[in-house]
Amino acid sequence: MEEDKFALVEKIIKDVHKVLSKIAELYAFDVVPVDINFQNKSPVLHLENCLGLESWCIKHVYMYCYSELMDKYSIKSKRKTRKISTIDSDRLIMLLNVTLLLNPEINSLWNRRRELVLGLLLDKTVELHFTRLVLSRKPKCNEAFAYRRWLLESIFEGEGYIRNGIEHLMNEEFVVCDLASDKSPNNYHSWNHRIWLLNKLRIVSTNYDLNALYVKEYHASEKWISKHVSDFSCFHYNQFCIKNLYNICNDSWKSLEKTLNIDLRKTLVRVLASNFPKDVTIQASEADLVGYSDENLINLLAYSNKVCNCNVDYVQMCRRIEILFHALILNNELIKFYKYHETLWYHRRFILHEIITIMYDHFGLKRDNGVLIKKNCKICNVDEIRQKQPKIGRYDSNRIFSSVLFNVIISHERNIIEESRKDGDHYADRHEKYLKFVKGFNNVM
Amino acid sequence: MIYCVRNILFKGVNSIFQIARFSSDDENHINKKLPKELLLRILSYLDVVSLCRCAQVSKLWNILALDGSNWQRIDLFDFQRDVEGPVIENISHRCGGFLRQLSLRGCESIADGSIKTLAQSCPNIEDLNLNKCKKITDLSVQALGRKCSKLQKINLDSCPSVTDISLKALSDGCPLLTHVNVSWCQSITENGVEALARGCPKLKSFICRGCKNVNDKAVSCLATFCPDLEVLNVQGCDSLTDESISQLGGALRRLCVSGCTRLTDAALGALAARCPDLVTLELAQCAHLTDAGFQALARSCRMLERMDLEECVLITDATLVHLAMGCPRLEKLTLSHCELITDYGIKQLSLSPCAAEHLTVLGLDNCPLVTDGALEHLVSCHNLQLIELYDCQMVTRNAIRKLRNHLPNIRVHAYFAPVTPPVTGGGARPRYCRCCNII
Repeated sequence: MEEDKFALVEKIIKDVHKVLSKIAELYAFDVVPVDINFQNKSPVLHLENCLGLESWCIKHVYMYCYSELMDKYSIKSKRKTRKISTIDSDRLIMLLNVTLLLNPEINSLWNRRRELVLGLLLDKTVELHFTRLVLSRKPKCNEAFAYRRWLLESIFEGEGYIRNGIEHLMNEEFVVCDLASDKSPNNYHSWNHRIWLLNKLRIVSTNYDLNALYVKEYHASEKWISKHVSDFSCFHYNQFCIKNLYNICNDSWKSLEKTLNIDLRKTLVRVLASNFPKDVTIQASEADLVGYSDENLINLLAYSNKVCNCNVDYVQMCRRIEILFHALILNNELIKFYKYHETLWYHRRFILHEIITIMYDHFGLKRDNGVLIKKNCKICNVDEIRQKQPKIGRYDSNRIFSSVLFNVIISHERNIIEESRKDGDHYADRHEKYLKFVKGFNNVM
Repeated sequence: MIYCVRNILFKGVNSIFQIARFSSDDENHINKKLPKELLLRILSYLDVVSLCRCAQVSKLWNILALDGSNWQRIDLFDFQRDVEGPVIENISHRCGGFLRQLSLRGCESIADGSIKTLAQSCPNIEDLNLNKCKKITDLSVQALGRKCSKLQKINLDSCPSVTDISLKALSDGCPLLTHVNVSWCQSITENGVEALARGCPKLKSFICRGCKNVNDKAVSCLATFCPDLEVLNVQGCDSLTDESISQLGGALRRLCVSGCTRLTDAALGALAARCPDLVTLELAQCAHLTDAGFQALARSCRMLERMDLEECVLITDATLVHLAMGCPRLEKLTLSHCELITDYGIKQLSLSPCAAEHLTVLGLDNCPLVTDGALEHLVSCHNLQLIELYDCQMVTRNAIRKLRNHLPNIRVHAYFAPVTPPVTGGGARPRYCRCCNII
C-alpha cells in the first residue's frame, strides 16, 4: 500500500510538471477543495490556463516532496562540496516546484532555486513566471517577492541585458503587484515591492521617463485609496508617490494636472479663501488669488525674513503645498463619506505633517524633541556654528503661528474636527489631540 | 568515505618498486606471514570503498590496495560526479593496461584532455561509459579509436558534441565493438551510422534515442552489415518508415520504435516474417498500427514478453485477442491511451495461457472504457504484480479492493487517495549522524 501511495504521488508530481512546462501561459494556481475523491480521476486540473490541485492529495504530495528535498537535497552544513549537476537538477526542480507552490514560505527552498539560477540550470524569465504563479495563490508571500527582487537585480546586473526590455519587465512587475494587492487587502508586501521597484528604477534607468511614471503611479494610487479606505499599505504607497511628485519638472506637472483633471492652484486657492482669518488686513478674493504669482502667494501665506541668504524656490514650494492641499481635500471627502476609518485619519496626519514641515523649513526652523529650534542652513551656515541648537524665542514661533497659511490650516482642521465630532467619530478627538500635543499646537488651537 | 576515495584518486602514482623497501622492515604479523601476492589476491576481492579503507592502513597496504590489478572495473557514479580532469589522469596512470571497465557517468566536468590521457595509458579498456559527460567532443572519441582497439562497449548518451566523425573513428579503430549508445547526440546522421555498420560487423546493440537525423538509410545499413544485431532502439527517429524496419534481420530480440509515427501495419507484417524471436517490442505513439498488423505479429512472434502499445489509438479488443492466443510468454503489456480497449479484450487476455503464469505488469491507464468488470476478470492472473489504472474513471475503489483481496501482493496505481493516513511522509529519515555525512 505504501508503494502504491508513492507511485500515486510520483504520478501527480509528473502531471503537475507536465502542466508547468507551459508556465508562460499559466496565470493562476490554487488548491481546489475536494475532500474525498470518489472517482479515479487526476487531481491535477488544467483549465483555461489555470492550474488546480485537488485538496485530498495535498497532504501526501507535500509530505513526500518535502521529505525527499530535506533528506536528499539539503545542503549538509559542513560539506558544501556536492554541486548540483544536471543529473539531479531536473528532479530537484520538479520537487521544488510542487513544494513551493503548496507552501511558498520556506526560504531554504527559495535559496535552492537561487543556486540553480546561478548555476544556469533555471531560466530567469521562467522563474519570474513561476513566482507569479506562486503569488496568484499566496499574494502575501514575502519570500516570493524577495526572490523576484533578487531575480530582477540579477537581470539588471547582467551584461546581456537589453535596455529596451526594461519597460516590458516593469509593466509585468506592476501587473503582478496589482494582482497581489487586488487579491489580498492590506498587502504590505506588494506595495513595498512597488516602492522598491520605483526606487530601483531611479538607480538603474537612464532613459526611462521617471516623472511620467510618478504621475501615473500617483494617479493610480489615488484611485486605489479611494476604493480601499482601510488599507493603510496603499495609503503608505500614496504617501511615497506624493513625495515623488515634489521635484518633478514643469511638463510633468502639467501632465499631472491633466491626468487628475483638476486645476491644483484653484483647489488651493478655494481652501485658502474660505478659511482666511477674519482679522487679516489683506482681504483677497478667490479670483485675486488665482492671479498671484508663486512668489507673491508664498509671501502672502507665510512671509519670512530669513536669516540665511539662500534663494527660496517659490515654484517648488507652491507646488508642494498645492499637491498636499489636493490630498487634504480628497481626504476630507473620504472622511465625510466613509465614516469611522482610522486609516483615513492617519493619512491626514501625514499630510498635515508634511505641510507643517514645509512651513518650518521655510521659516528656517525644525522640531527636535518637541521643541522648535533654529535650523542651520547647510549651504550658508558661515557664522551660525557658534550657536549650538539655539531655542527660538517667542517672537519667531509667533511669526509662524500668525502666518496666514498656518491659520488657514488650523481653521480648516477645526472645521473638519467639529463636523466629524457631530457624527460621533471619536477619531476626530484623537486627531485634535494629535495636533495639540504631538504637533505642539496646544497654545494656538 | 567520498573524501577517502577522492583523496586516494587524487594522489599520483607511487612507484611500485617501493614494495620491497617497506616489506622488509614491516613488523605487522599479517604482513610477515602472508606473501605479497596473496595479500594482493585477497584485496582483489574487495569493493572500491573497502580498497580505499585498506589503502589507509599502512604504506605497504597503500601500495597493494592501489595496485592497478585491483582496479579493473571502476564506476564513480555513487561516489562523486564532480571529478575534475586530474582524477581521471591519475586513474589511468595507476591502472594502466589493467583497466577493463570504466564508468564516468555524469562526470560533467571531464573534458577531452583527460579522455586522451586515458586512451593513451589504458589501451585494453573494453567498456567505457561516458553518459552525460557533456564536454566530450569528437577529439576524445578519435583518441579512443586510435588507441583502444579492444573496445567493445561504448556509451556516449547525452554527449551533444559528438558527431559522425566519432562514429567514423570508432568504425576505423574498434572493430570489436558490440554495444554502441549514442542517444541524444543530435548531430549523428546516416553517414556516421553507415560507417559504423560497415566497420563493426559484430554490433549487437545500437541505441540512438532522439537522434532525429537517423533515417531509413542508416537503419538499412545496420540491417545489412550487422547480422548479429539484437537490440535496436530508434525511439523518436520520426523519419523512419516501413522500408527500413522491414529489412531488420532474424537476430533481433529487442526493438524500440516508439515515436516513429510513420510506421504502418506493413512494418509489423515484415517483423512477423523476419524476426520470429522478438522478445521486446515498443511501439508507443505509432498511431497508424491496427488490429491487422498485430494479428500477423501475434501469429509468428511467439516469444514476445514485453510490449508497449501506448497511444496506438486504433487498436481494439481484437488485438488483445490475437496477443492472448499468439504470445504465451507475455509478461508486460502497456495499453495506455488505447481508448478503444474494453472489458471484453481484458477478459480474453485474462483467459489466455500467458495470463495465468507470466503476465506481471499491465498498463491500462487512460483507457476510458475499462470498468470494474475488467478487474474481476484479472483475478485469474496470479502473477500480476502491477496494474496501472490512472484516469480509468469507470473503475471504482471497491473493485480495486476486491482485486487486492484475491491478489494480495498486487500494486495498483490509481488516482484514489491512500486509505491509511501516512505515518511519515516519504519514508523515515535515515538515522545517520548528519555531521559524518553518508556511508
